[in-house]
Amino acid sequence: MELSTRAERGYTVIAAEGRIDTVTSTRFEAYCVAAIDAGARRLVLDFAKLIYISSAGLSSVLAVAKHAAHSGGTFAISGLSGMVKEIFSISGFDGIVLVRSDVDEAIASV
Amino acid sequence: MGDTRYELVLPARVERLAELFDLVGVAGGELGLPDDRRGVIDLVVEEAFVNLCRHAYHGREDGMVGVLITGAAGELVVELRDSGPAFNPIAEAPRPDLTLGVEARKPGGLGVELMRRMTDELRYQRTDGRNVLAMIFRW
Repeated sequence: MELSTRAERGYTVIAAEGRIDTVTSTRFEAYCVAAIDAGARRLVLDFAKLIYISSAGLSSVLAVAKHAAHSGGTFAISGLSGMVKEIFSISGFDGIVLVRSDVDEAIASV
Repeated sequence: MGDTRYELVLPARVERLAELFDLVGVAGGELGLPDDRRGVIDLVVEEAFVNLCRHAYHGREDGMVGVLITGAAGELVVELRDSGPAFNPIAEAPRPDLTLGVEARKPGGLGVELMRRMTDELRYQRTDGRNVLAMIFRW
């Protein structure tokens, strides 16, 4: 899993590439929480290049969403595809966090 | 196409997960598993393996997991065995409410629920003092 952060029009966009599984989810969550704690209040998780997520990854996404909300921030996810999109849908996560098709749309709606 | 059969014994520790993914990948490749099923099969195998690592041996660190992967055209079976106390994860795990919002969601239960939903068949047996969980995928 590769993580990177970029600033885009006042938003912090964190891109996760590869796989968020039980082993890598800890690093993903810590990375996002650190960004929020460092002051990111408008956060977009860009999952366009994420090819795999397990329930551990979903739990991390949930923890990040809660942390963002408790810090007074906004939060959206963009670019779901393939099995990641399927798992978000089956678990009901696409109904409880803001999901948009790409980063532009996410920025426009948070 | 000949029948596929792979066996692996590894410690019940989550950091060994990648080895399991590798073996499932090799077997799936041999069997012509469609690319769009790969991720889902990895997910089910991960949920089962992690569950076992965390709960089968109640904190003992020397527990082992036996992995048997078999298949023929259009079918892949991944079997995990442990020698912990009898436990049927399919029957005994609570079913999470998938309609709850962010604040109300509790961790846990989701992995087993995904296993239930993403396999074509799940079978649990207690055999010779071992828990045997078979996850069957067809395409």
